[in-house]
Amino acid sequence: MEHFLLEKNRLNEFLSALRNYEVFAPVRKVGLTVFELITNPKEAMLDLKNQPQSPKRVIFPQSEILLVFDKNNAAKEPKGRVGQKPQVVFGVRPCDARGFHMLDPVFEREYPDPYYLQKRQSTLLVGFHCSEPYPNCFCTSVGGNPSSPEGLDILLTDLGEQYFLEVITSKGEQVAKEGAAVLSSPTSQQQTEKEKLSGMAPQKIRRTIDTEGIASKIEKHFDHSLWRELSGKCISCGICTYTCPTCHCFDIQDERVRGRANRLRIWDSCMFPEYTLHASGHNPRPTRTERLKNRMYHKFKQNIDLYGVPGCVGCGRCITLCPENVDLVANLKVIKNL
Amino acid sequence: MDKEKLVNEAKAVFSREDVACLIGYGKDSIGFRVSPIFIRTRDEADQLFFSPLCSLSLVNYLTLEKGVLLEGNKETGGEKIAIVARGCDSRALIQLFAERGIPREQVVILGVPCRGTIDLKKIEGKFPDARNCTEVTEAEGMYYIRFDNESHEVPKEELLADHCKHCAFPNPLVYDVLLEDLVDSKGAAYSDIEEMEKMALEERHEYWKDKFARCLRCYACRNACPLCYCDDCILERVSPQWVNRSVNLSENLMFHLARSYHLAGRCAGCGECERVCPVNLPLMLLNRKLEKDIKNIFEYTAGSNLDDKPLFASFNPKDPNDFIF
Amino acid sequence: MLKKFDPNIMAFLCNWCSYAGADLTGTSHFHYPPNLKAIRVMCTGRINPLMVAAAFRHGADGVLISGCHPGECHYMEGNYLARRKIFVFRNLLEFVGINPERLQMSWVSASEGKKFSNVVKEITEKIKKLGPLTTFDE
Repeated sequence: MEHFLLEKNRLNEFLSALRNYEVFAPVRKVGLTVFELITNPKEAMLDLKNQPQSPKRVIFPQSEILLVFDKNNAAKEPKGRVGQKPQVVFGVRPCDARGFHMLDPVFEREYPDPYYLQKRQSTLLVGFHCSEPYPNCFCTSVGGNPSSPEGLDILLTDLGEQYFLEVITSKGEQVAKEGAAVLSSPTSQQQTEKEKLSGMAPQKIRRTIDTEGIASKIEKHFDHSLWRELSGKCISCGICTYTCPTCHCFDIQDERVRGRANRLRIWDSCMFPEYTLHASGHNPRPTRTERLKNRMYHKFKQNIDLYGVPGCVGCGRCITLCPENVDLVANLKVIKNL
Repeated sequence: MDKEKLVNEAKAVFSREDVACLIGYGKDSIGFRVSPIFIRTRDEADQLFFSPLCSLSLVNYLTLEKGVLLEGNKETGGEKIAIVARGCDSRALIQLFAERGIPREQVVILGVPCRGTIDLKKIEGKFPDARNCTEVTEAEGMYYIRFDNESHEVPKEELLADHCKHCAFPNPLVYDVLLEDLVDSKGAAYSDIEEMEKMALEERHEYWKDKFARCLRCYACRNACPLCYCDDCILERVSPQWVNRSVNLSENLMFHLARSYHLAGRCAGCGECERVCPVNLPLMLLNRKLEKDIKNIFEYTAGSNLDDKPLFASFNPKDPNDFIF
Repeated sequence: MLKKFDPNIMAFLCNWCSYAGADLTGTSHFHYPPNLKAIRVMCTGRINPLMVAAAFRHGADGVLISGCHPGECHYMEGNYLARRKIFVFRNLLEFVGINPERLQMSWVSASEGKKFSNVVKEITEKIKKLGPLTTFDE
């Protein structure tokens, strides 16, 4: 596909040109970077640091109302969901973009999910080449790459004064057309510079693990006493699952507020005891051990069986944000060495 | 702190007492991270350490899954659990004993007088690429941070965790073994709370709206709290469902009202809720606001005295009455 | 034109004093505004402040908790315990930006029918002045 050059100081103009889209971009809020709908391009904060959340929530929100009803009115879809404007998510890290690749089969295979798919199809992902990986990044160990265009529609690479803009898909081409006024053609020197940066990126990833054979080890040692050791410090909170770009478990609940009721879909977390609690009171995963084991089993065994890839993009959030330092990479190494 | 002293005392505890498991701090292999570790035999005690990086509280493990901690007793036959506790942890323990969350006789406390701990977010922000921090020590208002082949000095104020800045109980109030000499303590400071109280009602509402809107409802603040140990938590109840599962401003406010109110007169000030929050909510402001009011009006400080009756299980006929018709 | 604000006020009345007091208000033909929706509880001491929060969440603009006078609790000390809890909860409400005047408390004995009607009148006026509670609208 085509290559362009975007002067950094014209980025705002480029974003403004996308008036047919709702633009989501990282915004700085009290020390955090969060993806939010922006109305003014100046709000965008293109520093990818400290993103406790992936842009997963733009397409798969934490809580989403599916139906509204009350005692006088039959259930109907909430206003505003149908006929949305197409969306652009700006400033996506390549690992997070791969995350959507792992969510897609879940929501489109056996039971196509209209809520997810509609938004997914109308959303375009503009990624940033990840030139400074974070201490706990391990994307290269799970098939990713800090400069990977996989899952993205457009990939930007920071060349200092300019962004090198690669169009990856036809959806991306459309956006490039809308912003064509501020784009120029790169020189061959800039092309080489970009390729050099892409080549250097993987070497900057400092945490690695060879995942070969882990799936069978997890299966084989499913009842090993070591799981208990690994889960000893876990406090059963939902941080790892709620910040994960590939976790997708949800619950459907009917909620009543002031005489109205909503049927909604909300994220659930396999780390909560409630997650597997049966109506009878029996809980097949009663302790932290079973729950932590389940999460690793799902990501590194079951997901491979179902979709051929591990359910992990190596973004390192669950390691960085875990309050008690449950370290996924270290745990995988323990399992591998069993 | 002298590692040798800590390890020796821990070993002595294993020899002397009927201990199945000792919960302490261990140095993680990466960066500034410190992990809770569970020592089940005398020899394992060598892994223990303590430094200003030990900002996490270990008390919640006592009530999280007690059976797991006692598993070690297959080998030792021990029925007791030993724990390394700082000043705030000892307050949490006193509160737990008073509420009969765990019997005093079952816990062996290794008390550590604490000079304040480092906020991991602050130190990782200052040294984002630090892979191998080998040691952090404190002397005369400075932290000395050593890496493999370099060392840095940082003023203590810059890295000190916020809740430690307001700490009035650095010394353990209950212990079986004291690991160091007691340190000086100062009175509780509430200047930041008083500043907030001066804000107009609407202004304060806007402040909290901005915060609560970001809450992920991951329950980490509850799970990390040494005093949130109910088997059946009101935040999780389905029937009646006090707090709906929707993640929006109203439900998040309900969640945080319930959480902080349930810690009124119970919060030990360890700052765990704030430390674990992935979206940096200033939850200790809520806890400390209640702590301040309760101290001023009811002359009650949670976890300060083993013989105190819980705040809301007691009363004084002279309690404030002027807000009542 | 703006619709006149008709507040929703939820009342938790203790079985032994205030609920009987409210009864007496009725049988004595004392008037009070119809904005009050009463729930009978055995004692004010059993009121969990989360009930108050839930009332606000589900549409109440104000909440009244009413029980026996100090020293007259049927269970000896339930109202004293309630007083502490509600005092602290009001402070918490104020700190997160909800006007604590929306949560009122009163001591009304079984013989104080007149007082009950006055309390309700006064509270209704107060809440009317404060306007609708919008904090939990989302």
